[in-house]
Amino acid sequence: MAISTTPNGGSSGGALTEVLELILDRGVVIDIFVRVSLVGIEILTIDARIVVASVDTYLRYAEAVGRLNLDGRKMGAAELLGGNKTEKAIEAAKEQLGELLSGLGQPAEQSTPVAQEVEQ
Amino acid sequence: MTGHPEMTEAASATPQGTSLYVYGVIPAADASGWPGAEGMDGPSASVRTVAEGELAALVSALPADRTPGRREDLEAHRRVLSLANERGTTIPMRFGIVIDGEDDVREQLLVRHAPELSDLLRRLDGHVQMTLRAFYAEDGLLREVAENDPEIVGRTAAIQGLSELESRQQRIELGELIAQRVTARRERDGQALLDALSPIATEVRVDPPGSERVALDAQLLVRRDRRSTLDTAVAVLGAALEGQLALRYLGPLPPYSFADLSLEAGGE
Repeated sequence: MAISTTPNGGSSGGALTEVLELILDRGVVIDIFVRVSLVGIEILTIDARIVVASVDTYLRYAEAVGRLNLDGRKMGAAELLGGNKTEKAIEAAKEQLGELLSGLGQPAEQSTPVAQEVEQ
Repeated sequence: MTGHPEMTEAASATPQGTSLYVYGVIPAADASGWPGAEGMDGPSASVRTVAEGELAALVSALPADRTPGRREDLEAHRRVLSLANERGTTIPMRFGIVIDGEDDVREQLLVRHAPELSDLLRRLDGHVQMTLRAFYAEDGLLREVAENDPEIVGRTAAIQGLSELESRQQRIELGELIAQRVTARRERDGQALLDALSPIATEVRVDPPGSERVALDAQLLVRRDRRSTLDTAVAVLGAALEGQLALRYLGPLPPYSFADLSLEAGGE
């Protein structure tokens, strides 16, 4: 078996893991020329989609929230009206980025190649 | 492995019993820099180009009886395309495309599909792909969602002290409510993040989140000359979201997610 000695050629496992799904699932394909037999590759990411629609999931959520020791008095109704913490942080960052982002034209077209499996 | 008398002699550089592994397609104008990189089958099979018209395929020899699929094969695919992407615009093929000889690479890929591939090359020209994933801290999302929701707080309190059996239905309903809120919150946060960054990108693809902790799994096609702007924006967002969302930012990658062609072979 070849041992690569090129500078960036070492087996950077992390890098491969992070792009594994892209390599196997994206890119130009011509069906009749596909020849693949995955050996010893654990494809954990593929099919590990969330299914938020089972009784088990619901019970697990209820249990997890029960463990949080929620304190009703801390509840912030203002947050419900004025956007959440994450959105506020993003808004603040956007203001900071104002000049950088201005004049870039139309936002990029957004699309979702795989149907969202999480129902609203 | 060698010497199949029934096989016809392939093109000069492709000896009998050898196929070609195809990594991707680049502009023929960029083909000259190529001999040298190590291919999937080791140092003896270096990456070269098969050019036709304005397109060139990046290939390396592979024994005809070998089926790619080992970890090293995936790594070779990633490494060669990553190098190509450093050098210029690259259309990545999906992992595992093997074509019998140079003539077939020309005819079945470069000639037959010249219009689609040329269009795609123009669309991707001067672009790279960046991956952005946003993760909630452990329990962070649940706490955020639950703490600020009077209904969840109320229903959680109502269940305390009841036995598992008698509260089962209430817990299922509570869990369903939490699941709805979590999903809505995740989509809102993911979209807000995307809205902040999409003006910098040319195209954006959103993949379904791979785990409950993922707010966003997005692929951004970005012009090379806007890379530093995107880097800065992600850094500023990352700092602002500290403690709420952890950002994982990867790249530059070859534009895997935007090379979304499925080509028909044969026919005619």
